[in-house]
Amino acid sequence: MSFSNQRLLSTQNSSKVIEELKKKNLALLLAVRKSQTLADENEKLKKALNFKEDKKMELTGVEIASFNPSIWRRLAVINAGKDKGLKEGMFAVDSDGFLIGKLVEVRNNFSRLMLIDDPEFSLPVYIGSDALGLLSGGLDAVKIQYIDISDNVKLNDIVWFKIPLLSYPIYAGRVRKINENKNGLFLDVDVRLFSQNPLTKKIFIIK
Amino acid sequence: MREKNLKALLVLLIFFLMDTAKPFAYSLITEFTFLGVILICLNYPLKISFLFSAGFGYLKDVICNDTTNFSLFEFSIAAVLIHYFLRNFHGKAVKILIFLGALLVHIIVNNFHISRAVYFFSFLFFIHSSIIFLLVNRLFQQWLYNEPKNNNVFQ
Repeated sequence: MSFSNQRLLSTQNSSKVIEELKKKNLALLLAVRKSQTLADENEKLKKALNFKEDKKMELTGVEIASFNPSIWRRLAVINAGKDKGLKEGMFAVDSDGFLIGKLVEVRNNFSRLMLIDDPEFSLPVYIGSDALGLLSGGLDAVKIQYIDISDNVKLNDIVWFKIPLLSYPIYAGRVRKINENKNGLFLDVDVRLFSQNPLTKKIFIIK
Repeated sequence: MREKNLKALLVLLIFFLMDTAKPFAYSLITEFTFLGVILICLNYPLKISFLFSAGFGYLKDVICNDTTNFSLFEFSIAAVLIHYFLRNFHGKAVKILIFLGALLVHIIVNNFHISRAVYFFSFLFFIHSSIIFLLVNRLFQQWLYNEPKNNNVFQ
């Protein structure tokens, strides 16, 4: 094959490649436009339905100043309060992002944190993909109550919850034991917490 | 006598700090302040025991933010009852029985207070508290009571 024929072939190959790339580029451009249109449409629908916008997650690092002297409660005093923008009901996580507890009292420069295993702790949670129950703390075991028997709850399913306005799931633990409730209508589930000894780790409050 | 009272106050203060600082986090299931109150009640006259019990009960309620004054009543009543039993019953085993009885009543009362029956936790509390009380008694006996080492609280 002569040199001129070789050049002709390579030029033809290059033009094919360029054409393919142009097609791909156009397809991507159209995809971007489509996603932009969808995002705009989503925004309009949210406004129309009066949905609140998702907030960005903001964390405040805190430390434990002291504990409740009673061993029958799981309450700790942390070294931040209204001065750091904390509010009652905010949730605390450890450095791995696992749930530790929630704020039950906020003063000017300190707050009271109720740990997840406190007997008075309660929180609506999800188990696995869609089952819903009420997590309640306890000194013997942390349990989830009022799970419908028809819900497909399995051992080792993840227990999690979602903070309103935040789209991140916060993990609390895994299903350890499943029992049928005495009245036979609901399941009682024991939870193994992810954060076994949260007090040795740094604590963060989700704002 | 004043020195002995100051020693009791210091011991109770250290025990109270141990409860609020929890150096062993929640792996040690006991209440040092409660053990200290029993220790003082078993070895001091009613007036001093009642004063310290009520004082530290009130302090615990303030720190716990407990508006029912649960510990104030519990500790004060415990001081009076312990002295009642000490006055009316005699014998080697009386102090041991009083300690175990106080521990059991404390467990039952706290189960009611938190409105839950926590069996395994209560069992652990009983075991840990008994061991800690024996250790504390042994460590502090000579310093606190100013008595020979072999003359412990249960004798």
